[in-house]
Amino acid sequence: MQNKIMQNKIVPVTVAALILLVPVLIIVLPKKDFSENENRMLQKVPVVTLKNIKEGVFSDEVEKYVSDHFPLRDELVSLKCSVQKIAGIKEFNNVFLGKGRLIQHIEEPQTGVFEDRINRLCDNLEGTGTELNLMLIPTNATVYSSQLPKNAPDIVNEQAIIHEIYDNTNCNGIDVVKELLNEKDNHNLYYNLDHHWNYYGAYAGYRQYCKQTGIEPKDIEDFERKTLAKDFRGTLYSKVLIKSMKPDVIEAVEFPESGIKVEYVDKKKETNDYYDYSFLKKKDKYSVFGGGNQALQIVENQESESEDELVIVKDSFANCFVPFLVYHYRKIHIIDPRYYMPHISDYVKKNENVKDVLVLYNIDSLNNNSGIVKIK
Amino acid sequence: MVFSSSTFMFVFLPIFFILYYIVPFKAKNIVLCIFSLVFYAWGEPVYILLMVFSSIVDYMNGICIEKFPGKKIVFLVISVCVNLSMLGFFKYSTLLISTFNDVTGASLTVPNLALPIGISFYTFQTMSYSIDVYRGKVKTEHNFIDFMTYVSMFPQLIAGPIVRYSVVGAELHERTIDFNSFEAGMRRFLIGLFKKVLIANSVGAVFTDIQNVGIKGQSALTLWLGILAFSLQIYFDFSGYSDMAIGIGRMIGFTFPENFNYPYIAKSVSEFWRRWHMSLTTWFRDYVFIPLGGSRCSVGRNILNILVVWALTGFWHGAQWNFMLWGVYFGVILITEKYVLKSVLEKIPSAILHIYVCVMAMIGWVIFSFDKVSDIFSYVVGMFNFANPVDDKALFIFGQYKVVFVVAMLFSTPVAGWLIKKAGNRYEKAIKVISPVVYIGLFIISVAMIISESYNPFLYFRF
Repeated sequence: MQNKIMQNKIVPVTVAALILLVPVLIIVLPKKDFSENENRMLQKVPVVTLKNIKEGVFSDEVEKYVSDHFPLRDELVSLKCSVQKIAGIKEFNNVFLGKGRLIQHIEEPQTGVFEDRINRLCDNLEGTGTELNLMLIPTNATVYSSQLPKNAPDIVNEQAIIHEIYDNTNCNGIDVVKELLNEKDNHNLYYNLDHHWNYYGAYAGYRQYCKQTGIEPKDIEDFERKTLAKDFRGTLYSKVLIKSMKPDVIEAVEFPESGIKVEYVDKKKETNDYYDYSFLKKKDKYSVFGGGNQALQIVENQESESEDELVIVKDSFANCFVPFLVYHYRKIHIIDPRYYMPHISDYVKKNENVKDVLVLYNIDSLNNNSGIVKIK
Repeated sequence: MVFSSSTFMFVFLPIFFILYYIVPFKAKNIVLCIFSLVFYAWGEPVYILLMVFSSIVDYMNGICIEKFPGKKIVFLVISVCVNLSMLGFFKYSTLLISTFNDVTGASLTVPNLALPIGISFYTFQTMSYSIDVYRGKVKTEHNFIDFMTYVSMFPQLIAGPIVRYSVVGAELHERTIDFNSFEAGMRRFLIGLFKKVLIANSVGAVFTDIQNVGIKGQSALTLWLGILAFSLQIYFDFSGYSDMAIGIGRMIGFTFPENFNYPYIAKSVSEFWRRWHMSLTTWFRDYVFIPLGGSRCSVGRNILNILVVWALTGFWHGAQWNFMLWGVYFGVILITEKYVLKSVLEKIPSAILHIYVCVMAMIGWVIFSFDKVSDIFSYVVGMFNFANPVDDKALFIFGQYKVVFVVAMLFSTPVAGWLIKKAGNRYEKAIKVISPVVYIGLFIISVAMIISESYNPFLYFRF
C-alpha cells in the first residue's frame, strides 16, 4: 500500500497529535455524571486498589471512563450512526429506521407468567364487586407496520399474542389493536422518536375502554388539547441518535380548572396539577405526564359527577392515558408494581368506592417489566 | 489490552510513545519491556508469571546450549517439553480431560482454566528461539532484558505475527528510529485500524446474529451471507490486527514479517495457505513439517506428514476438536490438490478457480465457527437447502450490508489498492488534497465506532 497518495506527512502528524491531545482533554474538560440519552450514570474515576487490579475491575473501569468521558462523545456516537445509515444499515439497538419514524423491534414475549398473575389478581378480587379490565397496547411496529423498512424480518404478531392472552385470562380484554389500526391514518397515534403512544393513540385507547365499561365517551373535540413541548426526542431516538429526524410534539388533555388534587403517596407530596412541567426542560420530556412513574399516585377530581373510583395497574403507557379519564371518575389510583410493594387486591379492598380495576401494559413490558411478576 | 480499545489508543499509546522517544537508546528496551508487561497484565495480571517463566526457561536454554555444546540436545528437549506442556496444560487440558471423561465414562475433575492470552504465540516464539540456537541459526542472547523484550513485545504479543528471534534479534540491539519509519508505521497502523474497526466489526454483526438465533429455519441465502460475512470479518480482523502490529513495530524501529497477502485471490487452496497467516504456516513448515521429512520422502509418508502438520495447525487455533477437524479438512484438500487435481487445476479458467478457493475457504470457516459437528453439518446442508432459498431475513441482511460487503470484497483483493493508485496517478493534485481528509475522516469515524461500543441506552428506568 505504499504509493504516492500516502507520501504525505499531514496524516501521521495529525493522528499522533489527536492521540496525545485526547487524554489531556479528558482530564481537563468538565465531566458529566449522568447520560440523559442513555438514562444511566457514567463511569466514575476508577479507584486503584490491589484487589481492583487483580480482578480486572480497574482495567474495565478505565476503559469505561475513557469512553464515557470522551470529548464530543454524543456527537461521535451520532456520527457513527449516521455513517452506518448512509452505508445502508436499517436497524440500531433493536430499533428500525422506518419511513418517517423509528420503530421498535421487540422479542416474542413470554406470556405464561403474565397470564398467571392476571388470573391470580382476578381470583383475589372476587367478592369486591369490581370489574377487572385488561388493556394490552401493541408497539408501533404493529400499528405502523407499513412504515417498516423493506423486508424487516422477525416481526412479532402482537395482535395474535394479545388475543391469546385475553383468551387465557378471566378478565375483560379490551381490544385496542383494531381501533388503533382503524385510526392510524387519521392521526399519528405514536410519537415518531419515542416508543409511547401519544395524545391520539391514548384517545383511541380511551374510546375502547369506555366501550367496555359502559361509560359514554367524550368526543375528541370535547377535550381541550394543549401543546406541552415541540422538541421531544424520546427513547427510540436515544437508541439511534440520528440528528436529522424531526422531533415530536407533546400534546395533552387540559384538566378542569379547579378541583384537581394529585397525591404522590410515596413522596408524601400533593399538587393541583397532574403535569410536572419541570421535565420539559430535560431529555425525559414524557415524564411531564404525572411526573413519570410513581409507586402510587392518586388523581382526584372533586368536581366529577361520578362517585366511582378506578385503580390502574400499569406501565408508562398509562401516564398520558389517565387525563382522558379524570372527567369520569372521582378518584383514579395509579399503581406501578415496579415500585409498589403491597398486594394490589388488598389495596382495592381497602378502598370501597373502587368500581373498576384496569391493568394496562404495552406488550413489550411482558419482556422486560419487573413489575409484572408482582401483580397479585 | 487490545489495540482497538480507547484505553490502548488514548492512554497506553500516548504515554508509551512519549517515554519511548525521550529516553536514550539504551533504555528503550527497558521502557518497551515494562510497557509490554503492563499491556499483557492489563485486565488479567496473574498469567504474566507464566510468560516470564517461559522467557526465563528459554533464556537459560540458550545460554546452556552455548556453554555445553556437547549436551545441547538436552536443553532443546527441555525447551520443547516445557513450552508444549505449558501450552498443553493451560490451553488443552480442559478439553482433553472432558473428552476423556466422555469417552470412558470416568469423572475426573475438569480444570476450569482461563486461557492465558497470547500463550499460543509466545510459546512458539520462545521455542523457535531455542531450536534456532540449537541449530546454530542464531546467536545466544545474553541480555535478559533484551530477551524478555523480544518475547513480550506488545505489538505482536497477543495476535501475532509470530516473530522469530532470527528476524528481530539484530534490531533488538541496534535499530533506526526516525520520523520516516514513524510516519510509515503510523500509516500502516491506521490501515489496520480501519480494517478492524470499520470493516471487520461492521460485517461481524451478521454472523453473530445467526450464531445467536441458531441455524435451524434459516434460509440458504441467509447462511451464505452469514458465512460470507464471517469470511470477511475474520480476514479483516486478523490481517488488520497484523497491520496494526507491523505498524507499531515500524514506529518503534522493528521490522516484523508480513502475515497476509490477499489470501482470497488465491487460485488453489495450497496458494491460499501461502497467503494466509504466513508467519504460522512457515513456522509449522520449518519446525514440524521439514523435521518430519517434508516432501522428500515416500508418497505415503508425505501424505501422513501433511495430515499431521495440518491437524496440529488446526488444533493450534483453539482447544476444540472442530479446529483439528478444520485443519484436517485443509490437509485433505492440500493432498488432493497435490496428488489428484494438480493437472486438472492447471486447465481450469482462473475465474472458476477463484470461486473454488472461496467456497472451500467458506466451508472451512463453517467448521471453524461451530464446535459441534451436528451444527457444522446442518449449516452446510442448509447452505444448499433449495426448499428454503430466500426469506425476508436474508433480503434484509442483504439490503443492509450490500455496500459494506462490496467495499470489503474490493479491499480483500488488490483491486481497491490498484484503483486508488490509478486515481492517484491521474488526478495527482486533487488526490493529494483529498487523501489526508479521507484518512483523518476515517480515523475519526473509527474512534467513533470504538467509543460507541460503550453507548448503552436503556429504554426503561434506572433501578
